[in-house]
Amino acid sequence: MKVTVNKKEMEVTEGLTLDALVQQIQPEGGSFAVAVGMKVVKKENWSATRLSENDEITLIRATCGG
Amino acid sequence: MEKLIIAGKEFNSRLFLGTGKFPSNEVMGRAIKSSKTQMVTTALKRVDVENSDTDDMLAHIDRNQVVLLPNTSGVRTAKEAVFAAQIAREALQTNWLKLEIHPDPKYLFPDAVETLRATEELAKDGFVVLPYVQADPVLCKQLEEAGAATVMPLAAPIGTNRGLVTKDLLEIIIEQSNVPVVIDAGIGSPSHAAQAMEMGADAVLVNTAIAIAGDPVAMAEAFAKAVEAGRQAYESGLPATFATAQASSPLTEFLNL
Repeated sequence: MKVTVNKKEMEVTEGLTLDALVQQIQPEGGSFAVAVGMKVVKKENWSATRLSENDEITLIRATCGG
Repeated sequence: MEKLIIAGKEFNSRLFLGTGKFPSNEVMGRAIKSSKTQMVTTALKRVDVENSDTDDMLAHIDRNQVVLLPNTSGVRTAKEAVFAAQIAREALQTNWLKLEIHPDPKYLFPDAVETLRATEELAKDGFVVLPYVQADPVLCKQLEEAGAATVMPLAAPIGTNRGLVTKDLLEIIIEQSNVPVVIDAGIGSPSHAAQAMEMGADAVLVNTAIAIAGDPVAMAEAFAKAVEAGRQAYESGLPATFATAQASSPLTEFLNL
C-alpha cells in the first residue's frame, strides 16, 4: 500500500506498524518525533499503531533557528 | 544581578541565544558557551528520509546547562502552531515553546490573532509559552491573561539588526507587564541590547547579530557583557536627565581674581 513519509510516496507492506516503518527508514541525527496525519504518536505507541493506505507520516527533528 | 524567573525556573543569564545562521554547528556550540546563555532556541524540520544528516545540532548543546526552546517557525496558523508544539514536545521532551506565527515572508511580522488563539490553547495544554509578537501593549496584556509565560515583543523585523525601532511601545509594554518581557528580533549590536536592559526589559533574544558577526564567539561574549551591564544599570537606578547643565564641580569662582 502507498503512504507518504515527509511528503514522499513510499510503498509499504499492508498493515505495517509505525515502529517497523521507523526501523525501515532509520533516521539519523538526534531525537525526532512522528505524527500520522495531524496526530503526534508517542514513541511507546509506535508498535501499536498500524498504518493505513494513504496515511501521511511526518518525521520532525530539531534544526538551527532563532 | 537579580535572577530572571520564568514559569518558576531561575536563570542567571538574561541573554537568550538563537541558533540560526552560524557558520557551523561547532561555532554555534562555542558561541553558546561564551554567551553564558541558559536559553537556546531551535527550529524544527522534516527529517530527510533519503539522505542522512550526520551533524546533529543538539550534539553541540549541553542540555544540563541550557533550556532548549523549540520554536514554531514556518507555521502560518494557530492550528499549525499547536501541531508544531505537540511534535516539538515529543521530539525534544520539553514543554517550553517559542510561539511564532508569521505568515508574511517579507517582514516576518507575527500574526496577532493566531498567536493569541494558539497561546490560549497551548497554555491550557501545559506548555510554557513564550510568544513572539508585535510591540503591541494591548496584545501583550491579552497574552498575559491567556497564560503566556513571557511576552517577546519585537524591536525591529527579524534579522534586520536595526535596534530598538519600537522603543516607545516597548517601554509601555515593560511598564504594564506582569510577566517577563523578552525583547526579541532586530537587536543588532551590544549597545542595542544594553539599551533594552537599561529600559527594564527582563531579557533579550539575539541571533543574527551574533551568528553573522566576523567572530561569533567573541560577539556572543560582547553581548553577554552588554546585557549584564544594562541590567546592572537598571537595577542601580539610572539618573534623571536635565535640560540644562548641572555642575559636577564646585563653582567657587576662584579664577575671578
